[in-house]
Amino acid sequence: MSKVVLENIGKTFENAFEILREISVTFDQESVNFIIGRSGAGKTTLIRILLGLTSPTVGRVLFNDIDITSLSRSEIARYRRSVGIVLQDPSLIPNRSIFDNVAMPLWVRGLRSKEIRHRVERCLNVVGLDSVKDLYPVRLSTGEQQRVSIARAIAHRPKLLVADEPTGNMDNQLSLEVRSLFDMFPELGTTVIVATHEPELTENMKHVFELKDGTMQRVAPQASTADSTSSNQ
Amino acid sequence: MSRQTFPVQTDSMSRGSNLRIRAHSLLESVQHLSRHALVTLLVWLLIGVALSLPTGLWLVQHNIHRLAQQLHDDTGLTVYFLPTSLSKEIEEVRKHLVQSTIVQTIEMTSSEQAMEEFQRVTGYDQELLALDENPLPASLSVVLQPDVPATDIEALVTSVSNYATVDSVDFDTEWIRNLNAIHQVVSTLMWIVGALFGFGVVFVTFASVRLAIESKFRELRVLSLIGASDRYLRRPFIYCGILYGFGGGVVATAIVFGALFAIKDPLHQLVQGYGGTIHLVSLNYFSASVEIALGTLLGYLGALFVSISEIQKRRTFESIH
Repeated sequence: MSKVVLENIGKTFENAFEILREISVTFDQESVNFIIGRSGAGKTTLIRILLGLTSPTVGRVLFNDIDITSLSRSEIARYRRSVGIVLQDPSLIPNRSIFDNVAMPLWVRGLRSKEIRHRVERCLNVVGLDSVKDLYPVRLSTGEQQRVSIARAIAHRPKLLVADEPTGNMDNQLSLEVRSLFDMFPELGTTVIVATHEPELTENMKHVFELKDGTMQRVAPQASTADSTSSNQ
Repeated sequence: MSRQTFPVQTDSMSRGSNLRIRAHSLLESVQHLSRHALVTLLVWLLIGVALSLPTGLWLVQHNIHRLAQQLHDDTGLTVYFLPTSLSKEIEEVRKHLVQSTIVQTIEMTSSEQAMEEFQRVTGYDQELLALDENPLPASLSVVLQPDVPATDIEALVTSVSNYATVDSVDFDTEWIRNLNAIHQVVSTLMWIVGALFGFGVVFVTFASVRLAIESKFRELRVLSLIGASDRYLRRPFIYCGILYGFGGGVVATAIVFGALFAIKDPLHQLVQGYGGTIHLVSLNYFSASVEIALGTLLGYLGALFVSISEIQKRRTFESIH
C-alpha cells in the first residue's frame, strides 16, 4: 500500500512565473492515476516534485505520511528506491545489455545475483521482451525501449510508479499497449501516476486529474469523494 | 519543522547487501579498467614513474647515510712522529690521547715494527738492508668512538699536532663533511621531489577518474533517478582510483628493483676498483609494501576529490537529473 498526498503544492520559478498553485490531491491507492494537461501546463514540474527532484515553493508531498519535501538528499535517494520511474526518454544505457539496464535498480539495492536474474527475467516477461535480454538498446525499437524502461521501473517492486509522458514518442497503438502494461501494476499493489498530454490514453480510466492554469481538477470519476479534490478549496 | 527519515527497505538493509553493493562496484571498476586497458596501462606507468623517482632518491639517500656511517665508524687518526722522537715524548702524546673521551683504543707502532710490517707486505728485504738508517717513523693508531662529531675530531687533531715531536696527523674530515652535505641535499631533494610527484600522482588519478565520470554521465543520471546515493555513485570511481594507485605502486616497485638490478654489477666493479666492498640498501618487503600502499592512498585521494567535486558540480546544475 502506498498513499500519495499533495498538500497545497505551489511552485513559482525564479522568473516569478507561477506554474503550480494550491494543488491538494490524494491519489487513489493501488490504481492508475492519470494527470492530463497541455504541454507547459506543469505536469513535468509536478512529477519532479513528486520524485524529489525539485522542491515546491509551498506545500508538502506526503508518501505514506512522510513529507518527502523535508527529507535530506540521502533520504530522498532512499525514497526513490521505493519508486519506479518512467520518462518520455527511456534513458537506457547504450553500452549495457537489456538485462543490465533492467538490473540497475537491483544493483543499487544489493540483491543476490540469483535474485536479480530471476526478477529481471520476470519483468522482461511481463513487458513481453524476455527474448531480448542479451541485446543492446540500439537493437530495439522506441516502443520496445520504453517497455524495457518500464521493466526497469518495476524490477524492484516499487510501491509507487511515476511516469512522465511515457508514450510521448509513440503512435496510438503503441501508446495503448504501454497503457495496458500500467493497468497490470495496481494488482501488484503499486500505485501508478502517469502524466500525459494525450487525453485518448485516459479513455475509460477511473482516476484522471486535469492540470490547467496551475491548478488540478479531478475529472474522472466525478469529484464526489472528499479527499481527492481540486486546489481551490 | 523536524526532519523526517525514510524507512530502509527490508531487502536492502542486510550487511550482505552492503557487501554485494561494494563487490558490484569493485567489479564495475575492474571492468572499466579492463575495457580501457591501454589507458589503464599508461596511467599505471605514469604513476609508477612518478613514484619510482622519490623512491630512488630515498634509496640513494639511505645508501649515502649508511656509507657515511660505515666510513665514519671505521675512522681513526694516525699520529706520525719525527724520527728523532724519544719514547718518553711519544708516551706523553699517548697519555694526552687516552684522556680524550672520543678515543676508543690506541695502538703504538715503533719504527722497527713499521719496518718489519713494510718488509712483510712488500717483500723488499735486500733493498731496505742497504739503507743506513730506518726511514719509517713511529706512530700511534687511534680508533675513535662511533658517532663523534667532526668538530670534536678536528679539535683533537689540532691539539695533537701542537706537540713538537709530532710530524703529522693523518685525518681528513673534509670528505666526510662532503658526504654529509650530499646526504642533506639528496634528503631535501627527496622530500621536494616526493611532494611534487605525490601531487602528480593525485593529479593523474584525478584526471583519469574525471574522464571515467564523464564517460558514465548518462548512467550516473539514471542511477541517481532510481535511488542511488551519492556514496553509491562515487564508489566505483574511488575503487578505480585505488586500483590506479595500487597498480602504479606495483610498477614503481618493479622499476626500482629493475634499476637496482641494472646498476648492481657496475657499482660492484667500481667499488672493487677502490679495494672495497659495498652492500646496497635495497627495497625490502616492508618498504615495497609502503610504496604500494602510498600509491594506493594517493590514488584514493585523487579519486575521492574528483568524484566528490564532479558529482556535486553536476548536481548543482541539476544536470544529473
